[in-house]
Amino acid sequence: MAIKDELLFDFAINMPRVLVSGNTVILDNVKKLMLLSQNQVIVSSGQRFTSVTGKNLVIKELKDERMLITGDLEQLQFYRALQEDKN
Amino acid sequence: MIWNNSSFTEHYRKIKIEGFQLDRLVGKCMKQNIRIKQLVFVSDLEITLAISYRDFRKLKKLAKSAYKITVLEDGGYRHHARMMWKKKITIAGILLFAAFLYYQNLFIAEIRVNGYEKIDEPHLRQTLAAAGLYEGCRKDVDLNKVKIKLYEEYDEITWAGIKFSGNMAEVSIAEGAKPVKTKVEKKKPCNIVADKAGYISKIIPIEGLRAADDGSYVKKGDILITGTVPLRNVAYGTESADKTETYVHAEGTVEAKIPKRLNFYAPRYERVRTGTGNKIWGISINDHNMAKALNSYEASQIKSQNLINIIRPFRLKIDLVSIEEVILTDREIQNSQLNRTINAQIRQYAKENLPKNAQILNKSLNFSREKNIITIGVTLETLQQIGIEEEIIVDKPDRKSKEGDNQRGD
Repeated sequence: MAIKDELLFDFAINMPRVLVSGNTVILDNVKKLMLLSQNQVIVSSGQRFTSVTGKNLVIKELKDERMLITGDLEQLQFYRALQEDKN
Repeated sequence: MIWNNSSFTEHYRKIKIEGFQLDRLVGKCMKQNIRIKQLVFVSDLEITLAISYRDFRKLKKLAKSAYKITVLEDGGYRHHARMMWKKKITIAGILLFAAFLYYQNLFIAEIRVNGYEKIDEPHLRQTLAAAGLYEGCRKDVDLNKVKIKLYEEYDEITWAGIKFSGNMAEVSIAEGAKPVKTKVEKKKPCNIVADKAGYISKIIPIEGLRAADDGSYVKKGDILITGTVPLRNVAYGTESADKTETYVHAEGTVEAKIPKRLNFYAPRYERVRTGTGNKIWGISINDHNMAKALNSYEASQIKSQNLINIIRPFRLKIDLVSIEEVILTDREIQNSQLNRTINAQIRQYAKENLPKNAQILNKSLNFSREKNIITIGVTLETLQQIGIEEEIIVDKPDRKSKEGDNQRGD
């Protein structure tokens, strides 16, 4: 990866950054909690939304714009707002 | 983002929040930098989470009256310390228990003796107890003194070591051969001499000639069987013709009657206690008799019966004690009563002072009553073997001086 791309990745604070490992998901740059339920967590990172779907989801830790979720993970999705909605 | 000082290790609370739009409240917490752990979505209207005590107050302000907050559990070292402080009696109990364990650790609860072969263990334990090392004694006993006592008491012990392992004292000993009295070598000439004074009863010489008659009185050191045997030499012209005697290793048995005068003393009167029937009952704990405080009798006798006697986990001895009122009177002791005691004392004397093969032939008792004391004179006649070997030192004439004498003669 070029240095420019790495810098963009590091300083992109309004974009979702996700780390997935087994039954654990770490979401960075969490700005707002949009939806919280036992089977789905949706968070906003500013420009994008991240959706984590699964069963028995537990937020192990929530601090400093970082969210650690554990549970039986099934799906990870990213959304963006429509231009019409923005307008 | 600035991190707040909330600490879960210090004090945290596990809470249950009930209400509508719970995700909105969690979002507000994020904005306020409130740290949340273990967030579980129980239902649409209920979540549980863990939060630090400082953040809990902030959360309550955020929640206002729109949510119902229930504290499920408290944790953290500060919370536990506060809880402990509320239980002062428990702390005092723990401290007391610790002090008790420490106090118990100062004493010896068990003694183990290793390495003995010929010496019997009860005898060894008696010696250790006499030197101050017994079960229940303090650990600061002088170990050098105990070792010296062991060496003094038993000639066989060549090495003794004592070490403490917890509340147990391990005594290790090493035994050597018992030192035997040196005898004259079989080849060397010797006499049999008396090792104590007495009247000769019987002499049986095996080698050598008898030097004392039966019934004669001999003193210590007198020759009983001589190893010097007169020689009538017929080999004329040889060196041995000058010799008129030869020396042998004397051997034989000598028995002598040895009189011994002993004095024993006994009180003239014995004290008789007659019970009146009045009694005080009490309990003695670790030999502290509480019933003694209530004892108003002029004369009394105490009887105790052991109920509990344990060493571990702590020393506890409980006795049932009865103090009985008695009337004291004096009664003169008769000679027949004394006979048994004196005979026992004579037997004890014989065991301690006379050789094993000695026999008591006669004994006579003479009682002499004085104001408060009875003197018992005992005359013992014992039959003992009294002969011991004593080497004969023969001065050999110098060869050179002998040659000189011959030349002068020429």
